[in-house]
This record gives sequence, structure tokens and C-alpha cells, in this order.
Amino acid sequence: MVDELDGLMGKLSQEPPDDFLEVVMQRIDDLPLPVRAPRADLQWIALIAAALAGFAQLIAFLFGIWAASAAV
Amino acid sequence: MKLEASIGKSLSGDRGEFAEIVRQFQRPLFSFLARMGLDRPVSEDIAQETFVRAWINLGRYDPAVSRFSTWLFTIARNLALSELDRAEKRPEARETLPDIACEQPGPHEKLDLSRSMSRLRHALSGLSQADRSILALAYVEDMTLSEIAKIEGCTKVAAKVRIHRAKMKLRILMEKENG
Repeated sequence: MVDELDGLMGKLSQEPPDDFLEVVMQRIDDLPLPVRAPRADLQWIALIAAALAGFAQLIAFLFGIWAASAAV
Repeated sequence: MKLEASIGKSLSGDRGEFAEIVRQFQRPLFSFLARMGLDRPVSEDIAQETFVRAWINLGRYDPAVSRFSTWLFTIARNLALSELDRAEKRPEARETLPDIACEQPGPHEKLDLSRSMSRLRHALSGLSQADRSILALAYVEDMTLSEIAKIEGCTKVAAKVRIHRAKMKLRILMEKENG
């Protein structure tokens, strides 16, 4: 029965209509070009750079507080 | 390799190369949708939408993550499941199962096959969406168990078990259809 089922499932198919490709391409012709996703490695570099810049800002802020309180 | 070249050229704006991709995958996609238990007009809409979404999101496809077919069938599966979900909420839609021409005169074997296919379609409609989805993927040519597991978001072992169980359920439903 399982073999028969496999056979039937294998035969269960639908043929695309003759004009399917044409219809799809007509829709695609109306669409803008796909946009390339930025490279993953560049995304990581940007993230690390932004994190370092943020950390530097934090250090500068803490140093400012320390300098102001030390001057009093 | 040819496919990757076609994807690259499509990304550069060559729509003709994308047409080649559509030509290559349209047949397996329609068969997959038939095994999901969808009738022809619905399959046509979903297949169209799959290729349109593939075009729009082509820039996000990463060959390092999955094969193109895995990515494409993931889109088709999600659209098909959404459609099945909508159809379940429309009670009359359950009656729109494609009716194979069982009563058509013709050679005995052809008639038997036609009846078997009709029973199979009815049995498929009795399966849950999850069972239909994994079973339909299991019969996609060249689709490995790892790829099925990736699309379904489960482990290889879980996919294997789910396919086995879905087949068992389908077998029982087919036996019921046979009376």
C-alpha cells in the first residue's frame, strides 16, 4: 500500500498553463529590479565600528564627569 | 553553476535570465502545489506569487545558506499554507476539491488511475496542513531530508518521523476512501 501510495503521489502533478511563463514575466516587467542585500561581513564591520564609536562616547562622558568632579 | 549565473544576471537586471529560472522551476512547483492538495486555479495564483516574491527578494537570497530550490519552495510553502488557512475559514471552499473525471469513458486502467488519484486528492484534503506540507516536500525531486527539515524548521530526525506519520495517516484515509 505504501508503495502504491508513493506511486500515486509521484503521479500527482499539475502542468503549468502554456502561458504561465508569459504571465509571470509580465508581472515581473512591472516591478523594479531586486535590490542586492548588503554583504553580511560588511554589516558586521559596520556594527563593530558603531559599537566602538558608542563605547568611545561613553568613555569620554565618564572621563568628563571624573574631570569635573576632580576639579571641584 | 548555470543557475547561480542566472541568479547573478537576474540581479543585474536581466529579466530574460529570470525567465529561465521560472521555466526551470515552474513544473516542480506546480506538482508540489498539487500535492499540497490545491486545485489548479489556486496553484496558478500561488506559483505566480512565488516567482514574483522570488524576484522582489532575489537580493536577499544567499547561496551560502541554502540552495535556490530550498529558498523558492520555502516561499511557495508559506504561501500555500496561508491559502489553506484562508480556505479552512471559508466552509464552502472545502467543497471545491478538484473533481477528477471519474465517469469519463476510457480504458479501464486509465479510469482506475483517475479514480485512485481522485481518492488520493480527497484523502490529502483530510490531512492537517503540516502533514500536507511535509509530504508534498518529500516528493519534490532532488529535495534532501536536510532541505525538507530546513524548510519545515525542524531537525532531520523530526522531519523523517513526520513524513512517516503523514504517510501512515494518508494510507488510513485512502483505505477509508476505498471503503
